[in-house]
Amino acid sequence: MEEKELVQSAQKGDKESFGVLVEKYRNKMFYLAYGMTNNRETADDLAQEVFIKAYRALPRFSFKAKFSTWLYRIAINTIKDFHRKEAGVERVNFNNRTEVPVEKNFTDKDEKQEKLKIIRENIKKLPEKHRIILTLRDVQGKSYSEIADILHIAPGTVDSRLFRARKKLRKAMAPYLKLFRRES
Amino acid sequence: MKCKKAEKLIVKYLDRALQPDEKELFLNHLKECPLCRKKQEEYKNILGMLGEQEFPEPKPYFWVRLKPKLKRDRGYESWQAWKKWGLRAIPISLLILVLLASLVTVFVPSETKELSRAEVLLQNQNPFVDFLPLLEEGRIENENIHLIFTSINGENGTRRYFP
Repeated sequence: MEEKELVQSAQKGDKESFGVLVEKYRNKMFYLAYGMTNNRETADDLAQEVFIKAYRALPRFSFKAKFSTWLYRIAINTIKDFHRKEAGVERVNFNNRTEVPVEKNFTDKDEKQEKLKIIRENIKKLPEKHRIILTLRDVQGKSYSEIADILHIAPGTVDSRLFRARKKLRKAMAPYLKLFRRES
Repeated sequence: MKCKKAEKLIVKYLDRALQPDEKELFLNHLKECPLCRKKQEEYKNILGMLGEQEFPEPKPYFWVRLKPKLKRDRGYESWQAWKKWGLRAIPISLLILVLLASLVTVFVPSETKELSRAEVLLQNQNPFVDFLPLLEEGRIENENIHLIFTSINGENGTRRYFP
């Protein structure tokens, strides 16, 4: 069955058709949430919430956009809501944390893990809109036009926002990149 | 080309989104500018790391856990039902109302408006017109009594006192 047929069937209340759609997009929603939260438990909860909201709103889906785009919009809004609720806790936990790169010798084994950990930490420090666009483009591999559709912004804005996000990340990562270069 | 402009093009170049003419200019700049080459290397590393990220899998039995939580929006469903039936009911109920109103106007006599005395006088009517039948009745009764007394007086001639 094609995706459109599955959506139409799910709109009529067929949970099994919706189940097929869930299987198809489960990982994408989970990875998006994980990229934004860095927590498996939270990402799993958020991914579940995305599908619950999607199922509720499905009768209103009018095929004006692609189903995946619509689902991503729900996911982005769910994640934003989560961050808004957690804002107070985040402020207490992370705002005063300034991590200084420590010169240490990386072994081949854990160097990659260490790099990924550092990049995740630095992504976490970026403003939310930059985190979202980086995750959509550089982690999920979405095209510029898809990102524009998902975020309801002009393609030119995608271009400039993505550039700013990457520039900020490069600046934040610069000391670590020097370290990695020295090691290799 | 200035380095500021070149930095924007580095990101586009790595996304393979550069126009051919822009690409040529950019590559020429890159050959001459070691700073931009360094920046390009840094961007390349970062984008590589972003793509290399390994994510854990979602917790097992995702669908099994999700299925019982799926419920339709009741509010929305009732709105849908209202949209389907309620909107059709509006013209029908309006038609019924119009019919009822026309029946009422045809079969129920309209109430006569009670005028105030001033209005009656202005219309040059007798203000005691309502009381005329009563007065008429009283007048007939008085006449009857008068006749009775007259006849009594006529029979006896004079009235006598009987203690």
